[in-house]
Amino acid sequence: MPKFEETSIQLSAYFDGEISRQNQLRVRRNLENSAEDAFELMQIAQVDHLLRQLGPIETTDQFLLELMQRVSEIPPQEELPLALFPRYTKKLQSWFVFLCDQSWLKFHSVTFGIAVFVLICVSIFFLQTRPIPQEVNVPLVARSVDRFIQVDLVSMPITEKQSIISPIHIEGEK
Amino acid sequence: MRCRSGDAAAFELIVMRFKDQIINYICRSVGDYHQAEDLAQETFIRIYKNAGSYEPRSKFKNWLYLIATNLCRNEIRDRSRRKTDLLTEVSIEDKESDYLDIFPDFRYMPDQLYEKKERELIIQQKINCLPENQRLSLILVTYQGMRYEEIAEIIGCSVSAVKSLIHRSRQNMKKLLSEAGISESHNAKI
Repeated sequence: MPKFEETSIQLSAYFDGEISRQNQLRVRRNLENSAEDAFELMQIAQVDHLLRQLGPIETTDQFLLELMQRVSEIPPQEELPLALFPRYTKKLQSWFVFLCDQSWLKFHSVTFGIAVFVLICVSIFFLQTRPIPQEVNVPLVARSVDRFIQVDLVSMPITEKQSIISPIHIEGEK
Repeated sequence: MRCRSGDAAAFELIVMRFKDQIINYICRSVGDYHQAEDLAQETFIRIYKNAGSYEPRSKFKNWLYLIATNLCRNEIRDRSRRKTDLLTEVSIEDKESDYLDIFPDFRYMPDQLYEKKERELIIQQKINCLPENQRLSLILVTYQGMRYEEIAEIIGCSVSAVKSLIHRSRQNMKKLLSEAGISESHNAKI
């Protein structure tokens, strides 16, 4: 944006009293030193004055009567029965509002308690699941980006020493 | 708040309080009094219907103006579309007949009053020449005395954008009015 444009915008905002106190002082200082800025501000004031020559439009009493007539014809809105999910959401909301009303400390402590409980449950669940025993011979199918590798672990049992699985044959090799 | 529960008396109070402002705002925006009355009625009916969904986060006045602004926008766009569709050249006489709705018949008035009314007519015409957002923001700041922050909320842009819009609208108006031969000096003579 050119500097004069920016100054002009600032002057327009200054005219409406929409700039900070610091900027007001700066604009005033500029106006004292720059005749161009002063002229620009005068033009803004003139345009505003011309626009304000359009007086207020008087409204008729008929407007209110017609409007109230139309409003009386609107049927009263019935409250739709809440669906299952929104109903529970509403209930939860009301509980939380209740908790919030009591005290913020209570609300936070309850939230923290719920979070800790969920964390404990999740960790117990993961600890209780048994790891898959390595001795079980399960045909393993591994897929790479451009190859399809089938590894038969039945014919080649894995021992503790043999840590590398060697493919028997490769299918779909280009 | 009472209006939210369907209280017609409370609604009437709201209408009484804001009707003049809203009709003036819409009338300046669309340039047609009868259309402005219809749109103002539509605005208040929407307020009545949606009173339940109003959340008092922002000022009620801003919400009211937001609805009125949306209706004005639709009307301005419809008009421009209609004009484009029909490919009709609207003559000056036609345009003037549009604005005669706003102003009373001044053909038999004394000269000074006639000139004054004619100037008002031209100013309104020039306002209607402005682009949509420039027009709305200029009307809100000049005739409704709104703050930039409120205008930003109603128009749906930032405060700095409003600053720029108002500046550009004033620049355009200066140009349009001087082209039409309306200036402060002309005014002084009268």
